[in-house]
Amino acid sequence: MRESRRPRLILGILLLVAFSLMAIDLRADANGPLGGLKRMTGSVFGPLESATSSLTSPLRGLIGSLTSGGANERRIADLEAELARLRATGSSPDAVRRIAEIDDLLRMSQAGQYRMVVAQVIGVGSAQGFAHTVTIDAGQVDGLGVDMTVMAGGGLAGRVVSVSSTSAVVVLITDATNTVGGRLEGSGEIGFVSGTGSELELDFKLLDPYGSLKPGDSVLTFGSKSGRPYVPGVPIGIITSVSGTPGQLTRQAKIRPFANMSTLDLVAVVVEPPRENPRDSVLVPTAAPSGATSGVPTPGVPTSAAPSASPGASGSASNSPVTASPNASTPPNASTPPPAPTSPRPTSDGASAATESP
Amino acid sequence: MTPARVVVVALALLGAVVLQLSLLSRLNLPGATPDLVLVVVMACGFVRGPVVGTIAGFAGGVLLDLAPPSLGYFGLTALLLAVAGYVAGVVAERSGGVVAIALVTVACAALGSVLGRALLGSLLGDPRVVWGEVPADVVTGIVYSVLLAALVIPTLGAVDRFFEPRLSL
Repeated sequence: MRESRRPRLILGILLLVAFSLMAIDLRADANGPLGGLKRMTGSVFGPLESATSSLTSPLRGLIGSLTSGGANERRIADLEAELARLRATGSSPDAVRRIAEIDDLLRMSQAGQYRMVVAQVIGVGSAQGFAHTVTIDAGQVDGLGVDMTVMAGGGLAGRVVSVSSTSAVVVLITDATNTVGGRLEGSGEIGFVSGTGSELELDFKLLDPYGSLKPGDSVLTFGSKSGRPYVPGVPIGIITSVSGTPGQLTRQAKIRPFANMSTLDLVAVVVEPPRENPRDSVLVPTAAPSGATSGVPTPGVPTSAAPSASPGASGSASNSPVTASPNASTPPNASTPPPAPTSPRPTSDGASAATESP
Repeated sequence: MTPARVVVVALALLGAVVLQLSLLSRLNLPGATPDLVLVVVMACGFVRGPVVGTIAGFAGGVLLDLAPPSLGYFGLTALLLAVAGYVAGVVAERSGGVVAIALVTVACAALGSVLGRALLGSLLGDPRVVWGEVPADVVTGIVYSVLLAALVIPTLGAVDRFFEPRLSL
């Protein structure tokens, strides 16, 4: 009996400590004592996660293809086509995918005139913890700050919530606590996009009870004051279903995000918002590839090409043959795309700046 | 606990935390993320008893709560894992190190860990808790934890014996 008393005592003490830590954390903000501790741990774990992430990248790819693609015939056909293409170009599947991602990011950067830093996802929060967060390998030294917009190839991914020297934590838009101001393409009706905790679905509430809302419409960011936490004009997702009738206090819809949250790899952090609102210009070419890959019909997209006669639209239109390459699988383009100066593999120090100033 | 063993436990916990955040959670496996830290904590408890299990659980939980990208309630994981480590140690003392009992204990702890997190989260007013996901997380969490435990517990036991053969458990 004497022996079993010591473990119980230690357990009791540690449980008390854990409870007090929780109490302190609930009351404190990011500048509290625990915030500093978290930043410090972040700067230690950032490089560790970065190294583990790059070391285990082949293993991830292998297991990912086993768990997601095995039974799906269309996916097998896609992979075979990709394999043929890879044999032709002699590059690894990873490199080709990353080139396509960088391509997408560069196109968005050019169309929206965002200045961004490209970074890589090096850690993801546990599913049973419910928070949708990722660690990226860029931090203070790369010019990142709290409340900066983060995009992935397809569209908006999230915002930066905490920054250590070489890593940062991003809350994804699918997190249940997250809300983004959204604007419908074309009409410009505004509303709020909130996370549901599901990676495939966002809620959209339209403010105008009589506003037009139909499946297939795209939603972009409305933009926050001085571009923080969200810069304007970033495509968020496409409306999949509408609930509620016109005239209700708010009208609701479900949105499928353009960015694939479960396979985030390369992301771009907007370090400087655009000088003027890019309106719909970022959206037009983006909707085509993501609509094709996710299988969602995008009837509203071609019509929206006409109204966006902003200066940015001409630049993005001339760019479209390039962005078509990841989608239409053209072998010669895949190995030598324009983003070659931005190396497809950002080095371990974090990120390479992709800056456009036309 | 010799210094070498403390280092072994510390390295195992650190490695488990980094692997869980950078590899296991990115595999997109259905349901929960395989809770490697829970399994390592329980292995410490099974191999070295309740005191080491409790302390390892608390330390591993604090690391998980602090390491990016965690945003949850700081201390919550530490609390759950400290209990798990304690339970593992007590069960090991009573059962005398039977592998099947260890695996059943890990399964129970996986259930308790997922349920406990959701329950404590909603008690604390965490708006992120989605109860619809919990059943799938519980089932997959148990499966992953038992599979990992079948690998981790013998490995940690072997490493432990390597550092002090005469005190094998």
